[in-house]
Amino acid sequence: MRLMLGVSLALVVAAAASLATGPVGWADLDHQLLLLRLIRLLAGILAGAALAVAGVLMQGLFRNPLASPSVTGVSAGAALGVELALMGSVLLPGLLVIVPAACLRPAAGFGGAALALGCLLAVARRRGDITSVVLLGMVLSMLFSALGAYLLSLANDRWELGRILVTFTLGGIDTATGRSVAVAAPLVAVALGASWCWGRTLDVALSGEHEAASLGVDTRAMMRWTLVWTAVLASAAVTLGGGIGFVGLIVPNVVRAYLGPGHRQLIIASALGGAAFLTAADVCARVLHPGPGEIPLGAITSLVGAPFFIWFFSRERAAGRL
Amino acid sequence: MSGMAVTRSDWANTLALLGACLLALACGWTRSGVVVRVADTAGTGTAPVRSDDGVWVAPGPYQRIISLDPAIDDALAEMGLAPRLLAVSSWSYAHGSRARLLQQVPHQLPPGAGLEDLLALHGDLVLVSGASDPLRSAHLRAAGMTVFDCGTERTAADAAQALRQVAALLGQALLGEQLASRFLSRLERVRDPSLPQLSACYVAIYGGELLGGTTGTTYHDLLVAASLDDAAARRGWRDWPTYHQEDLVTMAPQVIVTVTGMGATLRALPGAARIPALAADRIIEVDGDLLAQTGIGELEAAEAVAAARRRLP
Repeated sequence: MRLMLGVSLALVVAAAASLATGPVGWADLDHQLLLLRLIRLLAGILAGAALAVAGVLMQGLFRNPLASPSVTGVSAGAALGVELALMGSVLLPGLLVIVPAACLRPAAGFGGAALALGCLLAVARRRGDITSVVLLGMVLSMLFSALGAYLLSLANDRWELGRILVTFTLGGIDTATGRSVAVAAPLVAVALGASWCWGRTLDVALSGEHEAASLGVDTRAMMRWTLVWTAVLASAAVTLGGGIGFVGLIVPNVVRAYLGPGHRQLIIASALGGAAFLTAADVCARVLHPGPGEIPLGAITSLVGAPFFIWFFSRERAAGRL
Repeated sequence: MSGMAVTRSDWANTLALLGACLLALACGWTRSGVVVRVADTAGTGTAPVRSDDGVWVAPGPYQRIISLDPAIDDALAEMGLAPRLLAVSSWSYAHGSRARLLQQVPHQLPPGAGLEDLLALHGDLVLVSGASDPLRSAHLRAAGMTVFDCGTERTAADAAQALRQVAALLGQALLGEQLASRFLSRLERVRDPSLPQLSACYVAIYGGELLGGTTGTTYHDLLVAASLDDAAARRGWRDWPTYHQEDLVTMAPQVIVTVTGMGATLRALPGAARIPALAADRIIEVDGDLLAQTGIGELEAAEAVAAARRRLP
């Protein structure tokens, strides 16, 4: 309970700082600028909560605290979809007449994630074991990343494209629009609710696949839907903020250290913690940059996340848990 | 339990997923008015101008123009419209070919300027280039700003067309037409048909990478204006290719155009003796800022390359 209050308070403080931070002072803030900051804040909250809960689901499903949404390849799939959409919007301007710019990115992101998810579910259905799913997820992740790198190399020959793709890859919620937030919000909200519902099942599955099955858990349904909701959460985060890493790794592990392994509580606290962490990181991205402009959000989360990962890995190894 | 069996949880989750997707679709489907928006032009007697991203924008007496397109800044300054500019890119302010005429513009926008920086200026028109993120334009339009995409002014012809459109947008169509025609005809006159045609290519070297510029870019225009035959274009290259040394050997340019100071690095490349331009030391070095000019500033760059080409042995 104390932790819930703590993360809620952290989210309120980070949200207030986010609304107050920008090139224009609070006194001169008109409704347009305030709306812009509000959209950015909502994008940060949604993306942070989505990434953190996707991390909880992956760690619960694979029973490994070092798992993250990127293991399934859905993040890379969503990123590839958005990259293709960005290229299309520059190379085929007519595309924006058919699909508004604000809708093209989410649609392509969810499309890319759905492709990765389809492959995963096909293997899960045929083989049914977690190891096959992990292996395929890693292969898909590498494949989509390689295709993304190829697109980037093509885009480099047209510098305007290269610049847009690099900005997306580095991550940031500054270009989120009201429309993209409105599209992502119901998906994230329903996915968070559904994840919470699967919490009890994930608790039972911590004892092992066979033990869970002997206790009446439908492990295939659990795997199927955990993957689906992870895909929904991860792709929503990617379409809102691009390449933002480590949130799904750091937040659930910190929260678990205080709350223990119970997934329902973990999901609520991680959603709040992820939202607070990403909002705070976004404030840092704006404040720490010398002069106008911003540090890429993905760089901030990685700068915090990489040392944490090393520390956490060492601690888990020392404790004999890895 | 079989993997094919559909359980109650499957139904519940499928319904939840479908509901979320329908809700998201409903939020995203409503078409905004930004794709094709024509402001009321009744009574103005002027036709709307089509922005490069498909949006129709009404001409008007815009007085607080924010220009994020360096190629257009120079043209506006040349047409005497600098007093109507509220902000220009810091590049135009410092390095543009008409930087001297832009010194009175109240604001400079650095490359990292965000949406909030732009909205805070309260401009009445934002000019962007085709290099801008379309999402940013969509966001600015959603915030009620008039945005005109001038397109990617990669060649002299593109720049002249953008110039005409922006001038028409500002109610100065005749002035724009005159400047565009003068720019293109002067560029054509830089070319000296009496000079023998030498094959050439543009190459700059950054971090060991050989970066080119050919068909579809200002570099191609510069080579043509200097009576040089673009060897990369002949080989089918386009835009800004990254070359390997072997590509240079294959293209066998007789002249290399590069940025001031890079000639020595190019001469030191292993195998330089197999590249005619390097073997014969026929390297034209031009100031980097001048070479980077787009829009009407390209004319000065073309004149500099042509002058250096005339001095070649």
